[in-house]
Amino acid sequence: MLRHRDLLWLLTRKDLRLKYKGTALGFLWSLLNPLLLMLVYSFVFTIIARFPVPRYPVFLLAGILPWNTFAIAISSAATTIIGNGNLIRRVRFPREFLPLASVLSSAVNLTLSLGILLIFALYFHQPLGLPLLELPLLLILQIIFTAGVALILAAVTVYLRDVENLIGVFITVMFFLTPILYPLSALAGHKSAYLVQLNPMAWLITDYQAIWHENRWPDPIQTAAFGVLSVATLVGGWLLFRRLEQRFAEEV
Amino acid sequence: MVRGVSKSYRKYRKRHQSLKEIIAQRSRGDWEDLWALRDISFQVEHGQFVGIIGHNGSGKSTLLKLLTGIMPPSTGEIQVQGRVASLLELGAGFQPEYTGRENIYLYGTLLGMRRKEIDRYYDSIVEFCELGEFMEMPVKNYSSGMYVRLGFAVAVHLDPQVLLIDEVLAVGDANFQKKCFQHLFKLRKRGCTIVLVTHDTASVEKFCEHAIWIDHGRTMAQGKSSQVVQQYLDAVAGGASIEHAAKTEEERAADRDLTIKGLRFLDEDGRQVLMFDTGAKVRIEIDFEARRSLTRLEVGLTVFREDDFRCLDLNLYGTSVDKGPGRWVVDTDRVDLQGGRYVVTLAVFDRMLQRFQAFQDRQYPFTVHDDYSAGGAFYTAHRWSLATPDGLVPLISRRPDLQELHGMLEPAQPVGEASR
Repeated sequence: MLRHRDLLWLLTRKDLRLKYKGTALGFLWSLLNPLLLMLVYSFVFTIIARFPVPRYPVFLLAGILPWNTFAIAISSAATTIIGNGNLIRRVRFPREFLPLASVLSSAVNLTLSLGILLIFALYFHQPLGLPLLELPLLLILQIIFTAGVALILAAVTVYLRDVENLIGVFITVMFFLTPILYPLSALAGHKSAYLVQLNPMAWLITDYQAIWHENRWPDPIQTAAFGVLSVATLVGGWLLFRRLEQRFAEEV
Repeated sequence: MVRGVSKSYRKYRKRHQSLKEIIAQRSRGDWEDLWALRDISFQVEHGQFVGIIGHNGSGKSTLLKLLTGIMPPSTGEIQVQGRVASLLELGAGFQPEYTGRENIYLYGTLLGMRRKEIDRYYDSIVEFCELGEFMEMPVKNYSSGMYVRLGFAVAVHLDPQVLLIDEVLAVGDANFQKKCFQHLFKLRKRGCTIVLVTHDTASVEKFCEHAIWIDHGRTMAQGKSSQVVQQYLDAVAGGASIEHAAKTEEERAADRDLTIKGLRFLDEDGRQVLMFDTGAKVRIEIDFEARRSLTRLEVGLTVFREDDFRCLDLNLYGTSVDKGPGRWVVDTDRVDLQGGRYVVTLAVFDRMLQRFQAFQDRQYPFTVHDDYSAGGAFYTAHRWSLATPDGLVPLISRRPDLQELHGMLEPAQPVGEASR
């Protein structure tokens, strides 16, 4: 694996390049989608529904950018093994690099798109401060968690092609079970709050919101819990991948 | 080292791929095991050059995949020591949109090279594949020959301790093949072990000291390459290696009155061959046995190129045979096929009964070798000249190297100047 480490970087670069190759706007496309969503949701929730959230666009972007990254990473990683059958059947290399490259390339996208968030935050006179220092930690934890999920999905999809479709449904449901459009506080007292609090992505997203929108340090216990869960997911996912990998060459 | 290795594939009779079915039936489908390899054992010593030969579908390629580690064996164990490079199919791993340069890096790292190593070897790789001018061009515009060059050049620079090669060298032109084999020898001198899978018995005899013959997943023979190749050729002629196909054929038409016992190619000296040069005088012998005398037979011998292009039909109409064994002999003056791999289909049609007495679809492969390899199907003897006021001046055609790839045809030189 170590011998192949340069491969991971090359595959990541390939992923980034192929995604936007031949499009006039290139990388901007990955920003356009969340920006449009932000405009629509801002219109709906500040003008029609009137959420009592100050600087709603900043709040929304703080949640929707990492969420989109997660969603795109796992749905594209899921098909990396079945999509590279030619390679799997003919060359011996660490196959986990295929889904991992998807995760890394989307992480690169996220890092760049946080620049947009910064611009919006400044425009809306969002107070920002020291809590921003925790941002790299959150990014790393997100990559670890996403990598674990991606390895599981990529391996399972080989044997169970339904997973590819299930992921789409799952992502939509989880989107609403994560406080992205609404603040977690909006659920206070309602039974569904428990459900949302069981969702690890909700822990991560509220941490991002704490930094970007509330200018406070994220809850350390929640962050630690997410960290433990992420590492466990990655280790478990990797073990599962290694097990299922045995018959990839025959099944893809 | 390979000990007692078998490999089975699952052939699904019915495969559940939807969740509903899996939950409803609590199984992952219904399959039977197809054994691609059965109890194969052999040992390859450090620094040996070994050929693995066998018919299409004999399990050669599966064996190579097991050696590479792409799939685990179903039973038995495989031990390979040292850094392994395998060329299972050239260009697998190439990104068509990428340039030659980028693909060198991608493919190199896929094979396990570090980026720094590739940096170091880059010039030497480019020099080896002779594609210097094409390095900044996307490989989707490359020809298959260029693919092979690039892939091979990268793989040999990996400096592997074990190199596994499947058939791929057959794609390149004769010059490049020669260069590859020279390089393989160099690698072997350095102690690299080389395993070559092919059905080109000529190169096995020429280059490998040892050979293993596999048929239907079993080892048929192993040992000194010349002996193994001879056994293999005998078997192909006798139809033993198509035993399986012939058997099902027999089962299918137990009532057939004519059995083909074998078909072989002989060169001018009457030696049995599987490979010959363009323009060679080749004799084809077909042994058969008739259960009763037959009349109004039509014998069709069709030659297909590897890509299924139908090149030749050599037909015999309105012939009859007596009961018992017999032999048809087809004598050709020149086989003017261009270099490449071909396969023969043999059919015997009974005009009386309006049905086939024998039909052996693409059963007899052979290889034609030439030094032109410009593509095309046929070669014909010809001369080039330049018309001048003094009459025709004969021209000698010199084989261009890089220019040819460039698509530029360098003007041929008059005789006097060409003899350098």
